[in-house]
Amino acid sequence: MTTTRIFVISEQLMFARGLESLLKQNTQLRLIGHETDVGVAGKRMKELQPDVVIVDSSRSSWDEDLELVQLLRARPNLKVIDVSLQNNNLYIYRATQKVVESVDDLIQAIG
Amino acid sequence: MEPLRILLVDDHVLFRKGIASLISSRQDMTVVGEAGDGVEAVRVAKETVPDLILMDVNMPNRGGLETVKILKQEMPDVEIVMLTVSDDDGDLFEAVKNGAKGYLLKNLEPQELYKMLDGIRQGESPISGVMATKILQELRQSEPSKSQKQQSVDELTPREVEVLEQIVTGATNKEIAETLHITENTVKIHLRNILDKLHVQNRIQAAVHAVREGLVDASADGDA
Repeated sequence: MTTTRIFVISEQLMFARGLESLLKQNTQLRLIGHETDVGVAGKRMKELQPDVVIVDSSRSSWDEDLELVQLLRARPNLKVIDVSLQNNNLYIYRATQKVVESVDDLIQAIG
Repeated sequence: MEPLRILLVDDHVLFRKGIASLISSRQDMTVVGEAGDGVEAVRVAKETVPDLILMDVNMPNRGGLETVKILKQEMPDVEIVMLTVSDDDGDLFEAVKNGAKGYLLKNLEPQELYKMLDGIRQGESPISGVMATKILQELRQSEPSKSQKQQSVDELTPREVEVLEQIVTGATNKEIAETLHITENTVKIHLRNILDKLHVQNRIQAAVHAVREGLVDASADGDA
């Protein structure tokens, strides 16, 4: 059974730690790293090669599309999920959007 | 010892569930309820009667600052600690003025959060370091009048003034007891009397009042 390896990019440390605690409950998911800066995150992701990256773009002044496009160019098969902490929406990059009402919604998006 | 019963109030589902998961990993703490805005927070608080509420500032329907005020009026014994991304001075001071016991930023490590929450049981007021610095900077800009100082000093006993001086440095009840060679219970009694006499709700408000009114010397700022 393969494990989905997840990388988190968020300025909120407690959010990342909480996410790690939640994902631990699912044995098929593993949080392999967390960074607060997209530039540093890009380098670590090249080393770690995650399957999924969860991004919180809400507190940053990112040019969101530019940063995410750069991530996708580096890893075309990488799934990017934006969990913007300003609302309860999950944005699965360039694909779909849904409202998150429970942790299961995130687990399904990752899967 | 009974687990600390905590109500989580934050409009972001994943953040709230994450904190709940972290807290649930501890034997000495338990999450008794969750709410996504200030209106729901008041309802759930009345149902669950938590020991402590962790409250976000920015929420829809009713924000955290207003909710603190309402809860402290309706449930004065519940302790409320803000847990927020907002490092705005105005939010900090309004939260404290409305009755919040502490103010924490969401850039904490979980171990720091646990330590801060453990401190609640000891009567401490958890404040993220950067916010404590903002309080002291604000206090240093205040200049009390001599007549105000004399009036307030007359209200407190010499021992109470000594305890208040220690509170301003950020000392815990245990540290105050050791410094003044009294028991922790005695410190708590003095603290209760100080809060009553100064008409404030917690040690942070007492510290702010003490320096603003010139009851103590603000240059002794302890660890903050």
